[in-house]
Formats: sequence, structure tokens, C-alpha cells
Amino acid sequence: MTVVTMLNSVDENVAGSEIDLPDDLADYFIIKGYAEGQLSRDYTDVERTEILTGHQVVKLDSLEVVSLGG
Amino acid sequence: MASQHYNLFLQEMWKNTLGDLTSAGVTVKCRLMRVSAYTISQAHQFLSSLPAALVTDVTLASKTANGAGADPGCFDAADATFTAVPAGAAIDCLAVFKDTGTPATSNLLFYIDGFSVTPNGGDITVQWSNSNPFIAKL
Repeated sequence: MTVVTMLNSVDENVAGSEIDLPDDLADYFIIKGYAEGQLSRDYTDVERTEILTGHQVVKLDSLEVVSLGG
Repeated sequence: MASQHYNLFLQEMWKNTLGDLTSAGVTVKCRLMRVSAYTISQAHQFLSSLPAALVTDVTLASKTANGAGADPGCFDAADATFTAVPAGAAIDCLAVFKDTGTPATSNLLFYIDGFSVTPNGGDITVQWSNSNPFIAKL
């Protein structure tokens, strides 16, 4: 388990809270930039790209959808 | 349909039955939906009127009642990220509600549409407006 501090509100994990997560999920949140904390292991560029791929952002002020990370 | 408040939410605001929705002790969540599965009705008051969640509802944080500080009446919160939204048909509306833990008593607050995002299995972040009306203005 890894303790992280949430920077964003993700699912039921509220921004600003400090939570204990399984290592894989904590690493995912940290690499995505959703949380601050210590990675449980080193990640290759390929692994990081894979994690970052597919993220979409809905901007409600302009009603645009932006794809992040490929 | 257009984005709108639920009138029964406004009713409860006037009656002061909902408490301070910006308080950390009050849970306000956001649910992604499809207009093909939900048609807003002003007869809807509680979460039990919405379709089942497509993914885990996001709990909103950093809630304010004045936008970024200078817009009284504007409800705002930190952006909301839904993780690993299953690929499928476009998602094109959402609702914000006060979560009591029981759908039959969780008041619906706002309905927002006018966007469309086709989930690809990755995360979806809803980035609220950074200016008036932010998420919604009363």
C-alpha cells in the first residue's frame, strides 16, 4: 500500500485528502498527476505512455473535448 | 434539453433543508449519463430517478458558493476525473447531486448537457467552467 495526497477529485477520492491505496493504483494516480506520492517502482517511458493514453477532457466552458496522452 | 437546475432542489434551498452544500461534511457527487438513457424531468427530486452509474460517481472537492471568490451565487468545485470509463456510446449529460448514501434521499441539484464525449476506456475529466457561472449559478 502507498500513501498519496490527492490533487484532483478522482472517483470517490477527494482532492486534498491523504489516502492509502494499493501500489498499482497509487502509481497510476501519481503518473497521471492526480496525486502526489512516491512511486512503488521505476516505470519505463513505454509504461508511462500506456498509462497516459486515452485520457479525455470535457471542457464545459467551451464544450470542447480534448484528448490527452495520445 | 438544456442545462438546468432541478426545481425541487430550489424548493429545498428555500426551505433550507439541504444544509451547507459547500461544507466538507456534505458529500456532493457528479454522475455521467447518456441522454439516450435519461430525460430530465422537473418532477425528479432524488438520485433514484437517474439511471445506474456508468462508472463510480465522483465526489466533488473544494466546493465554493462564490465561484473563484468573486462570483457570489456560483457553485464551483475542483475538476472531476472518472477513471477507466468503459468504451461505448457517447456520454452527453451529467447530474450533480447531494449524496446521503441512499438514492431515495439524495437530492438532485443540477443537470448539465450540451457536450459529447465518446469513452475510449481511458479516464474522462470534467473540467468545470473557470468563470461565471462555473458549475451553476442560482
